[in-house]
Amino acid sequence: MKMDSIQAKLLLDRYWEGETSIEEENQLKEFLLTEEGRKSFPEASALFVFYSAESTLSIDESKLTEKIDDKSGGGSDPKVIPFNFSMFRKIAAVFLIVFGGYFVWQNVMSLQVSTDRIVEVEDPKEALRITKEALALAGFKMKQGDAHLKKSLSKLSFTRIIKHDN
Amino acid sequence: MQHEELMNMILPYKDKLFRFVLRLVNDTFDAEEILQDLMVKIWKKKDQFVTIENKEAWCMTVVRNLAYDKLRKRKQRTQDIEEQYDLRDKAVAPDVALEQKDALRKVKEVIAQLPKDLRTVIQLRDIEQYSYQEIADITGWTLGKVKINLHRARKTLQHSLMKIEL
Repeated sequence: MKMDSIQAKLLLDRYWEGETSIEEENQLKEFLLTEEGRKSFPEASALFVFYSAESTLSIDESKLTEKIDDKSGGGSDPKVIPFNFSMFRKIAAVFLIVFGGYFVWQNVMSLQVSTDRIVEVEDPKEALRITKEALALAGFKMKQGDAHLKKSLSKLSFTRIIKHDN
Repeated sequence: MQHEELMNMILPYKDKLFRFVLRLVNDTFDAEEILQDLMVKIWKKKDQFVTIENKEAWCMTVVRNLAYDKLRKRKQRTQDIEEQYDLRDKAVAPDVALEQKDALRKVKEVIAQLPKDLRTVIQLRDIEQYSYQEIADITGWTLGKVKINLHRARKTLQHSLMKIEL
């Protein structure tokens, strides 16, 4: 059934109110795209011309997959192993904590060992005696070291003499 | 799953998706990028995607959210009407074609000025011809809100179109 401008007006009023069905909207569209429709209802006609033009817009298939092609490098099923910077940071943080903790623990332990060997003595006489003993021990050790050094140097000079003779 | 299989699932409504996004972001480049992002999203979750019952509604919802994100990040740009519609193919007189082009530009501006929810409902109903229920599924609105938004959108369009000279 062909629509006239009176019927179109009634339908258009319902359209503006949002009360029309899709079928009625299609009938209205058909009428408004005609010359009669354009002259009778220029605003509504322009709107439906716009809708009509808009519904012809399309996108090229190749545009759709551009990003996927970039990521997968082709049409085959890709095995994507994304570089996850966040994960990398977490792993680095764990390593830092473990190794840092280990070194701190080592230092604390060595400090404990050295402090364990410190003896505090209240009596000054006793302290003097222990100090003398310690100094005597240090002197003895230095003497031993000195003798060892002299022995090594004499061996070295003996080697030089032999070398020189040859 | 190969690209081709994925494409075959999207092809029936790729143009609908493109038009919907294009009208929301009003920029061809951004619209294409959003659709590419959608494809990447689908590709990453392809095993889940094949199990989705209403893929079209799911895709519409995803691109709508992506478009809204895009809108939040930038100010809208407008594109020349000639870049989008090929009006030269229409079998109309040059003066009428010029008038149509001008009318299309004005209508497009009026629609672009609508709040995004109203623009969304116009695009889904008047251009893509979705039912109220389908619009509700895509947007997550109630049926009542779909009807209210459609009513508001059409009333706003009616008043705006009356004010401009077509």
